[in-house]
Amino acid sequence: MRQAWLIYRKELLGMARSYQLLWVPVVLMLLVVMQPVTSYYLPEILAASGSMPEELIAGFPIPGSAEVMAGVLGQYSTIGVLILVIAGMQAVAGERYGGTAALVLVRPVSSASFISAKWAGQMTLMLLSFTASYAASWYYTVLLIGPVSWREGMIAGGLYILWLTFAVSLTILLSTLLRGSAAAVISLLLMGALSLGYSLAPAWFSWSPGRLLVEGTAAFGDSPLKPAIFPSIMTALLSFVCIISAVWSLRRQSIPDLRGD
Amino acid sequence: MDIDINWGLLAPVIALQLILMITALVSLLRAQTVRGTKWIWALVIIFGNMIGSIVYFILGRKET
Repeated sequence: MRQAWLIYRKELLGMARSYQLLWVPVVLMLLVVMQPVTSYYLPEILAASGSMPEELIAGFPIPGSAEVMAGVLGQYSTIGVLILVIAGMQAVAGERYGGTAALVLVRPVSSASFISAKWAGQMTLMLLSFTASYAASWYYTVLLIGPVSWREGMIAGGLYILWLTFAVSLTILLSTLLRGSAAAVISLLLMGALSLGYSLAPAWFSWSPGRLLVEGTAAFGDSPLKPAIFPSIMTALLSFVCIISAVWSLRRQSIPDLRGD
Repeated sequence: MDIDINWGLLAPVIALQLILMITALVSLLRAQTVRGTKWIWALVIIFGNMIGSIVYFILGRKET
């Protein structure tokens, strides 16, 4: 535990030094805050573009707060995941190929504490970015468009946090197995396949983490909330399996061949 | 037609943009080496808005 704590603190220090702890949350905040802002100014933006008749613009409805919040969530499932995966792709791979991992792991440091510290570091970054940006977009939506239901907002946020937790865990596993950019590409493809799989064949993929995205967005709809308990448990389980496999594969990996660099 | 913009409302967004740009520039100045030339990255960060800074943080920095 002590070792994991030390590596975790070192990890946070490294993220602060590379400005990751600052730019990832700021970028996500900017991305999702633009959603309510552009929705609010949409009629004026359309008018300024000058190609639409006045009557049409006057009758153009400003989307409701539920729609805007659903749009905000949409940003996380695409660009949000992209940024988090790119930020995390070097977490283990960078140290493995940079030779630091070898230096750390020849000491009596277990690969379990190494991986869990890395995971905790990426989770901190994710939770910080998500909370800050979700709160900011919520605030803007309430201010500009209208009240957001607490219950719906919290449920949707929780489901997305779970989905992003899975993204972080998968990235850590792939970063242990592969080099950084390959890890990023493959985890993005897997995440995409999971969410696409559920929208194409919901019956087959009812266990899939991809379902959390659909249920999270639907939390803002008119339909009564369906419990997403089964996919939530599966997602938590899959994240755990990713971490365990990462520990296991790091333990049996030899020190990577550095001649290829 | 000019849009009636509520600047008080947009001030935090603009502040975030500035924070991002300044962080990217500070990081660029303090970096020992970057991929490519420093002054080109500076132009990318200043004129590329948010995307410019993101591209710099992802591609420009060398992993140490």
